[in-house]
Amino acid sequence: MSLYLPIAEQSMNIFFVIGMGAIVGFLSGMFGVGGGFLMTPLLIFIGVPPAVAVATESNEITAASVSGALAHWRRQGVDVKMGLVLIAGGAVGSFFGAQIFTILKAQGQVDLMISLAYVLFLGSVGGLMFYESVKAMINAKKGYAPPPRRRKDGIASWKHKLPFKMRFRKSRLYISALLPLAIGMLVGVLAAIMGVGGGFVMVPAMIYLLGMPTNVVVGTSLFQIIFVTALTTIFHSVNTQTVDILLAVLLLVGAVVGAQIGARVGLKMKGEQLRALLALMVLLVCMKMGVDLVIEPAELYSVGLGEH
Amino acid sequence: MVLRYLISLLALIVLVLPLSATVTDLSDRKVEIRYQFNGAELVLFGAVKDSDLPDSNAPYDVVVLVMGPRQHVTVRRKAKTAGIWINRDAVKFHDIPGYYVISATRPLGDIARAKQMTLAGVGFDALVFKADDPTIEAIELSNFRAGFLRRRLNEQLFQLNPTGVEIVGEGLFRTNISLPANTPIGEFTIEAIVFQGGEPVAKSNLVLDVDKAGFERAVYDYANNWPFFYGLTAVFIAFGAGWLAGLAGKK
Repeated sequence: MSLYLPIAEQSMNIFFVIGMGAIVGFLSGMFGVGGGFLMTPLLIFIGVPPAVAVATESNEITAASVSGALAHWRRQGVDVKMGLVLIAGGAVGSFFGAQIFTILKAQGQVDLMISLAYVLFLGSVGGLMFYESVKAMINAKKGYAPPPRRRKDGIASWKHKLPFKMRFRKSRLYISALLPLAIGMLVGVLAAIMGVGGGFVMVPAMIYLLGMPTNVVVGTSLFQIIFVTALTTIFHSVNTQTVDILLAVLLLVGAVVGAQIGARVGLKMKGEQLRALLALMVLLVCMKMGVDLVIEPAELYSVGLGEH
Repeated sequence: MVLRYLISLLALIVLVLPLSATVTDLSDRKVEIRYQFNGAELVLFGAVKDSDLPDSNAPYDVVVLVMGPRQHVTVRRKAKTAGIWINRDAVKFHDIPGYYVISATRPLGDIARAKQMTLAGVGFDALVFKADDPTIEAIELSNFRAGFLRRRLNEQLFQLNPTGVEIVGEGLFRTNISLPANTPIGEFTIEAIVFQGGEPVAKSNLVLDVDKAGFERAVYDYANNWPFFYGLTAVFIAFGAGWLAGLAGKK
């Protein structure tokens, strides 16, 4: 059964879209990641205009993060104060990201920016993750345990010299508010231009840069993602009218079911193996996007509408 | 602009067409894009009254031209820059039909001479591609024009069906008009032109309305006229859906 999507302006098989949501949901449940960085490229690969893919995916991530954050909230795993500072930064970042998006869209360069952003971020994050997990697997085989990482090392010196210190009780931290503001801002920009939640950048930053305890990291990042992607959705709706509610809801239906199953499968697998697999997938998506940029396209000309 | 007026004026002077010699009708006068829309197929029926043609015994051909609403388009061309292919040059064209389909009983070249066809307003050569930028070189203009046509033909928004019109007999003809899923919305004009001896001798016009309707129309209007509230609605739906999913996951 095909369904006409009013904003994407194309007809798609409803089961195909739900199925795609389910597969990405399954993977995100298994790996414990948001899935935006898989879903947005997939939507682009199947022919959804990149601008619509990014904006619509923001909308879907809001929903996915609400359900995820609720679970962490019940376990007291959200540092609200930290979350609010991250959101403040995220709002600014998302606003500027959406502005950049709008300007580039008018110039016909938004697709290029999306691809470049993906190649850059997925390439580096995927590469690092792959390297780290393979090393862990080799070490595990040798029976070698790496020395525990010391918290607050190299960066600690300049980190504590920054002004505007704030106390975050739940995270047991007394640090400058500028750090979480900056992290939130970067994530906001990424959310607006890539259609991702940004957890893959925020979570490591919270652990290694802020030194937050791991039990509040995921909940707090989800809490931030809810509001930043919600704002991003509104910015894109106002600026470029590229949010397709219908497409978002269909993807969501599949993702909710897929995530439940994925989470159960994920429990049965080893951490390093999971991370190596995820890294491979990230690198694959990154490679596909990179190759599309480098290979001469079959048709050099494209047609855009309505610009003066 | 001036050129096009001139062509239509010439067409009027040269061919004072008897309008009564052919009539046409469509299976649907209005196409509504609703939730299950995946393109539409219409049937155009027409009749030619032999006795009203200049030569009632000579054979004739029928050309049907379907034109969608006019659009402003930006055609971009990718070029290799620092190792990657990016959109570099762009040309803007104004008032190009968003849909342009020609169907005929025979290949156009067999029906009339190219010049005659263009004069009658039929064919891709009859479309006026005037670039926004008057300094563009003629060769570049034709490159961009060709790129645009390839794209549109590929998307089935432009079509050339040399044997798309079928003479059913007794002066009756029919043709199928296929609108792809990504069809532009607005007023379509349909012209059926009868050719005899290489000249247009009769013509009839129809109008077809293509519009989003029902839920699709409502969503589209909402998104475009009330973008802030549309975004807010999208967010509320996401919150609701996420909360429901959270409840389901708790069990």
